[in-house]
Amino acid sequence: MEDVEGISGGWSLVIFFIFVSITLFITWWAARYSKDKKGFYTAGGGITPLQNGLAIAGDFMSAASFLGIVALVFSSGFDGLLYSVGFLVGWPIVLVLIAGKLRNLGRFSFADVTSYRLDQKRVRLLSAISGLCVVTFYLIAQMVGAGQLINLMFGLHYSVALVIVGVLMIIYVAFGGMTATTWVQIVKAVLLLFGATVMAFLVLFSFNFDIAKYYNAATSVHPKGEAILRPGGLVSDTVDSVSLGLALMFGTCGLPHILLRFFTVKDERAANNSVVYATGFIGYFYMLTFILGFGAIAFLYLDNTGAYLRDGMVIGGKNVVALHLAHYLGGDLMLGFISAVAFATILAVVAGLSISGANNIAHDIYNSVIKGGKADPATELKISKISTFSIGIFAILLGIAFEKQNVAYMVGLAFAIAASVNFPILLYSIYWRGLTTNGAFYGGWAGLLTVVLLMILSPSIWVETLGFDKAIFPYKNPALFSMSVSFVLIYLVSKFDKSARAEVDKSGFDEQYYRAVTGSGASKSLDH
Amino acid sequence: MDKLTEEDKRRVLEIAAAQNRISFIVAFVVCFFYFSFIVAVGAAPDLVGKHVLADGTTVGIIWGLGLILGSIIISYFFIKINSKYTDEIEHIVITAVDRKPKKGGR
Repeated sequence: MEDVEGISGGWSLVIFFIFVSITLFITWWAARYSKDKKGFYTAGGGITPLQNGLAIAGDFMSAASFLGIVALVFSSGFDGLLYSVGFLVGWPIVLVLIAGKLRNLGRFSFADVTSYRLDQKRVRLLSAISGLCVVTFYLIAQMVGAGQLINLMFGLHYSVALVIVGVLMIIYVAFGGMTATTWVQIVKAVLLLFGATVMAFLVLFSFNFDIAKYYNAATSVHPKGEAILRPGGLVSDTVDSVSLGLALMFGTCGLPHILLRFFTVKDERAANNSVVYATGFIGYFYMLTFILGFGAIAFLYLDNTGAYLRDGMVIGGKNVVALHLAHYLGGDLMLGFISAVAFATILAVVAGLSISGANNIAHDIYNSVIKGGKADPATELKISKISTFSIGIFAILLGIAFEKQNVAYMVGLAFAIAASVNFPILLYSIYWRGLTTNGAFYGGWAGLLTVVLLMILSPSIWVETLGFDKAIFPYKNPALFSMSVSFVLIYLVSKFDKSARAEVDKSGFDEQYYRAVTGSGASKSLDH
Repeated sequence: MDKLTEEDKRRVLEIAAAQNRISFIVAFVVCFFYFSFIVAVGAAPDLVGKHVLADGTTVGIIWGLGLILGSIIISYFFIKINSKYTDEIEHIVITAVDRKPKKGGR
């Protein structure tokens, strides 16, 4: 990527340095709480529901969703709302089906739950690999986006930007563990919610909070006119859009870095409450992005200074519309603040991904699969930290390798894997006595391979990346098909499984179910 | 778990079944409204784009923002109801743990 003059100016650097200084101080403070396995992976389970709700929101509200949805509303109006809704509706499902029982059954990772009564090695290995796939694809999208965005905002070279993000991520996670990661996410969530609230207030204030004037201002200047209040071209194929909807909704229930957050609170009740807080913060944030998108249309198209648009095109690309709007509303100071928040947003998300990946490698693969659950805790912790360093360096290299690639499908792929592998196994293992190791193993692998294969054959990769004329699989979103494959295969293989292991798997359900409903506190009492 | 009587276990299972029933109903309701929205956007864009308020707000905007607000509200009420069930389960378990084992006659 060519070096460009950053659009964000000096204020953004000042605010960003303040953010980094605060988060490094937090990391130094948090280091004392990350000296054992429990502290490193779960912050000792001492995070309150409100803090965890904010941290979940900080983990989930990525720079891509902030800048991307505002940009989508700016270019297509109503269609942007489809993504906002899609990213939010998974949360009630996480709450009612997953969060509380996951907390009661697991200690360090969602694979604790999927393998609770099944063969530890096979099922945990599958969950760990699937978790690592989700983390890797998500990380690639975040790193490439980070490099491009930081290059645009601050004028830093793409690779330099990646190194800064990678190094800070390593420092937060390796030294501060889950405590530092949590607080980085909390600080970022508060800053992002504050910044977006101030911007939305200023937008609506400019129209005296008169919604009719606000819509009129946007529709009268947008090239598509009134059509921006109606569905546009984003959802042209119902099968594709239902498939995307399934990935967004049920993928949220299977994202390993999000599920990991439920082990940072003390019990089921706290896990449930933290989801309600998170749903409130995330929902509020996505409503703000809709307001900001329409505000950007009204103000940026009307501006005739030439500072934001040139020949009808956004200077710096559509992804910086939110930054231009910040500048329009509050000058250099507001632009600096929002740019620094966008940078902070990237750091918080990659830190969450990194600790989740380290957890999969050290806890699931090293301790549970290789050492049969008997690894020395100090060695496991050391492996977690080495994994964090490796993931940081891997992320930088992936960011550089994918610089010129279109990575827009990567987040969709991550959600599709989470929806097609992690979610079905979690759901069956919590609620269905009949699930067996063979069912989870073969159905899960079939789901994973189906997602990846269909994605390669889809227009996103087969045509746009590999350059073929026509895609073999006609849809951009494979979740409808891959989820069907895994749900049906897990069921059928389990149903016809006559192995001795299947009997052990089924007989473990009652004990697991009691624990899932009575909770860890109760189980501790019962162990007395 | 050994300290729970058969009656306690039966009661815990009943409460858990009621909890699960509510969970699956809420999940179904959310899925129904969300996927109806998606299908309507693709199959009936004119209906979704119809103005329903004088200020220009369309059916789709109300439906979309309603889904976001509805998700927050339904989550809030779910934990209110769910925690009553959790209280009952905790009460049964704690009572069982506190129940003094009967010793031989005095």
